[in-house]
Amino acid sequence: MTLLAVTGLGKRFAGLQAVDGVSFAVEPGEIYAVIGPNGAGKTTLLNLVTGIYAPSAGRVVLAGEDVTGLRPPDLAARGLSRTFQNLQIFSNLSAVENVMVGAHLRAETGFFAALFRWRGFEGKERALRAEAAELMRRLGIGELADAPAAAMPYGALKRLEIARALASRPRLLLLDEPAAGLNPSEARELVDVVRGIAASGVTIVLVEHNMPLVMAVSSRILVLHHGQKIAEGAPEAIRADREVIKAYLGVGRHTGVRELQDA
Amino acid sequence: MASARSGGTLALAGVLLVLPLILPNRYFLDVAILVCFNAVVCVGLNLLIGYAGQISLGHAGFFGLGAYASAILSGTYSWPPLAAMLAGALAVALLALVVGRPILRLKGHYLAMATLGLGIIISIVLTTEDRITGGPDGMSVPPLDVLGWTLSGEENWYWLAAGLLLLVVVLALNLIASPIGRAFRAIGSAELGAEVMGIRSARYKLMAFVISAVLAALAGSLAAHYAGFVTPGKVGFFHSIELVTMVVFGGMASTFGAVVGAAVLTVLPQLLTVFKEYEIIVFGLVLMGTMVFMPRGLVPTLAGLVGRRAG
Repeated sequence: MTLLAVTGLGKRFAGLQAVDGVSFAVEPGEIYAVIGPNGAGKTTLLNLVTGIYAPSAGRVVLAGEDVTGLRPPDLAARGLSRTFQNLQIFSNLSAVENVMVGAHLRAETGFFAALFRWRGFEGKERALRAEAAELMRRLGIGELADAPAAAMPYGALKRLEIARALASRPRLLLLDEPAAGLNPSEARELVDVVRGIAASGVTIVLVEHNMPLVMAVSSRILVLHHGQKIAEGAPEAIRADREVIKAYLGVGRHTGVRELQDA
Repeated sequence: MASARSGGTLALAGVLLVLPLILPNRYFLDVAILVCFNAVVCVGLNLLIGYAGQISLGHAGFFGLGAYASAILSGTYSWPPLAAMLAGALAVALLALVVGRPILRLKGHYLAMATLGLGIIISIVLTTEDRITGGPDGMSVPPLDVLGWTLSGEENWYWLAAGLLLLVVVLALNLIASPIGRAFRAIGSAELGAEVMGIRSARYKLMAFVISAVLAALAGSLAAHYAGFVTPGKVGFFHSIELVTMVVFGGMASTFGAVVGAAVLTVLPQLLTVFKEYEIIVFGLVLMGTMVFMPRGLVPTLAGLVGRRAG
């Protein structure tokens, strides 16, 4: 069954049609990329799918259930998680506690159990902490478990957000520009990270500017331009698509095209 | 983390135990009791302000409702004081629940305005309903009497207040280190990120608001029985500001900071009486100096210094 089906999705901000009638479907096990020039509406699309904005038009169906307009906590309960381009780190928690918050829906305890540390509370917390530390190790930031999140370098925070999202054991993980702000070698390492997550059975939607990363990991690519879908297909097909090349050329920067061709 | 927490708790217990032995007279014991009551309110308020990141400029209102519930129910209606105290706490919990739901949707300055308004309304009602509350003159409160045993004398009151403070600190620390406390802190630093992780932020903000209101009400009830008298003075806007100042001064998101903030700002005005009419100016200068040189508050800044030297 299709995991995520988006039909005719639209969002209008006062006078600006940020996303316009976009439809696509993501199958289980896919790494589905969304690309497009700056301002194409990629992040808005992501915010619509993850319940941060309510769409002005269209529907979002997750595993057969209409989830259009549901709020983020409701979507989290249905197995959807995401990271943020501009980071939403809990800066007053330690790194490992950030990841433990990712498991919030499994960790919730009664008020009095928390107050008096009753009935296996300690054991549950220990198990949760161990699981969170293990996730951090998988993402190559294991040694930072006890660091205050506020003191971590940018690249590590990007991975911390991925670990936190994975702690919720999502079916569908949406990554919002995970390579943005990383140096080239850090960005290259992301290829294995993303593939590893997909191999563990998590379906991925990847919004990204970094073409080498997109071309290396994606099974299919959706191209947005001025809020509209202008192409969709396998990486090779997208690389040769005239409309896509025109969209990137139209922005006035040839670099985008070169990245598209070289990757 | 765990060791720092238990270390702090032990240190607090030690200080509370030793205090009555070294305080020279009853007057100081009286101040120590006030410190404990204020600290109980501040530890609760810190959950809301320091951890969950939501401001309240109306908590003196909850303190006052607790105080007046005890005064009216145990005085006018001769209820057993414990029952009056519980009824007051319950009523405040309900009020906080009902009022908190709509106003906690507001953020920043707007939330400050709404809670300020709430505090002012409570203060006005308590002042103007003079047939029930005695109006600006206040009313007397019977002594705290539990099953025929009456609590009296500064010593006994001190042990009650200190015991309550220690209990509240331990429970607050437990809560902060639990999934609930992590949810508070997550909301306080990145609300959108918290929501995406499945945290229903409205629910947790309301929880922090109600907990802090109930602690304020309990402290208010006890303070009323201890003083034997209540006036609208401790219910008003200035006391609300004082409470927030204690939390910020001691250090936001630090439970021991809230205790230290309450202690310093309760004791300082007593010490500054040597400055006579300039007292309030010196008080203001101390506050300004601390916030300029220790913007994170007293305890987190000092803990950071010690930690850096040790590491």
